[in-house]
Amino acid sequence: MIMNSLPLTNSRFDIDAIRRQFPILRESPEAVPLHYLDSASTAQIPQLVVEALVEHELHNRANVQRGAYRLADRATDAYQSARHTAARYINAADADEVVFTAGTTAALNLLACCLGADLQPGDEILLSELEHHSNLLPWREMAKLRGAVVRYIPVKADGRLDLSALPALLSTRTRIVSVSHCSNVTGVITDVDSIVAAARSVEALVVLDGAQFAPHGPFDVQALGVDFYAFSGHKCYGPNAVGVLWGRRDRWQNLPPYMTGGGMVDRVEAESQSYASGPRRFEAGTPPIAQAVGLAAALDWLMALPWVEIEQHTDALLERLYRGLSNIPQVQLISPDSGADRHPVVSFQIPGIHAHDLSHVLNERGVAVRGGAHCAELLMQALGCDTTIRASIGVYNNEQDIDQLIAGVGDAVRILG
Amino acid sequence: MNIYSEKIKGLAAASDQLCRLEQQATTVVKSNPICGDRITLDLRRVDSQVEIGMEVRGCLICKASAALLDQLCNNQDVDHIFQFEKELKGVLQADNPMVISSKLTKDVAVFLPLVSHKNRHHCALLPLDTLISALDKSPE
Repeated sequence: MIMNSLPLTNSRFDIDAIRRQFPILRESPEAVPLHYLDSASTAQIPQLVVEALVEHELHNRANVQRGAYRLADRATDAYQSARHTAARYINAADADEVVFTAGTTAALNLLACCLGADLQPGDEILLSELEHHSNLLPWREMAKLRGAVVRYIPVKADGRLDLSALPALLSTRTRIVSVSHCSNVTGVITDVDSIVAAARSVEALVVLDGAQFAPHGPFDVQALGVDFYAFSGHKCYGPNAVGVLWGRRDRWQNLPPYMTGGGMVDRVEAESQSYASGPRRFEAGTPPIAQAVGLAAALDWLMALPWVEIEQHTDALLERLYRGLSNIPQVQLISPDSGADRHPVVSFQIPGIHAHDLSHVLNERGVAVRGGAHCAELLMQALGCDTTIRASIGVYNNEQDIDQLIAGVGDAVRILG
Repeated sequence: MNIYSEKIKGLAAASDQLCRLEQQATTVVKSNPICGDRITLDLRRVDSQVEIGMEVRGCLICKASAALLDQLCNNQDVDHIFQFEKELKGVLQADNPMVISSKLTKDVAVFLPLVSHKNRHHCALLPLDTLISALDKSPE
């Protein structure tokens, strides 16, 4: 049926070799094989990353930047080496521009708090309607606290930002522009050049939420021209509870600390204190050491992958998914079906069938997708949806994953329609 | 075990007939931010009984649960509602699910297939949780 007419992906790309590195794809705890299409939520983790984590915990575990013993030195070396690896992945000018956080949410809360401390009543923050709540609520809370105003770049019907609205939304009071680099619902990549040019015209800072962009291969924060960039480890095939917040060196200077405590001070006296410079100022307490080491292993692994072939592979899967879903009359695609400005994330809905019910039926075939509002309720409202099903393709997905999803949607229409 | 039994689907379809109360009432709106389900529930105490009206936006499980709540708890007393709460939560936690004695439990047992699907329990419980909140807000 449908599957026979769908295109095969690039045969030179050895997807099986990639898949063998993910034990969970071989050893599904369920009776049916796992077809994991929820990497935009959390990507699976390759064995070598787990081994790096375990190696660190078993042989290098100590607190960092504190002890004078050999083990503490090894832990510190490993942690700082992870910072250098993260810097290489995003082509930061200096490893000291990289702060480890607990993830993108923590990074954006840090920024909202630190940058927000300088906001005056009437200052403006520009966000967009497609933001994940993590890049929405921290700014809104800070705006409420400081009497600032939040504005939103609207979303067009195809899920792309309406950048023609930018001139009217920016003013001399705009201090911060914070947008997603890639939508977690539609996969659309933001036109960063236009955002940066517009923001610079009013001397506003630019923050990018890179949670959905960063997993798709190394990139260059300097070329993007933004001021801050945040992403999570667990979406980059790394561990949970670690993320990266990059900022241009001059932008970090003079920012107040977010959290205070051990490890981030310069000097503490009875009546006063001063804080460390560089990333240490923003890494109070014991940082996520093993997680950072694991993230570095994941980023090294990503940097070694053949990205041209991977993109050909995921593009072919995306086309297969689009064509398969388009052959089911009840399906309404939410993501745009063409254009190079997108990563392989697809949302769709079937009127009359709730996304949770649909994802439950897909689960019977071992297909793991996300159903719901995707922590992007403003976007759902803008697109006129209550909920959608989101399928997100990772480096390990193959044709069978897509075919099972399409067949499962057919099942759902029969069972629930 | 298939959670989308004909009985569940029938209950969900019946939820389309639910409507808000026309008289003045205590109103509570509860949502599930993860999946977008939303219950708007009106409650009015009439003597010792509780009259409820609902508007439901949700998945099949949430809708079926709302319809069952309407069938079993509307125009009942508070003790009856608390018994329903005990039994629905008991069924979902598989507290001796094989012992189905009362009429109430037999009806509530329609949700037994949900026991192992813990992420769907909130779908089945949202209408009840909304009713309990409305009871708390409504003067006796």
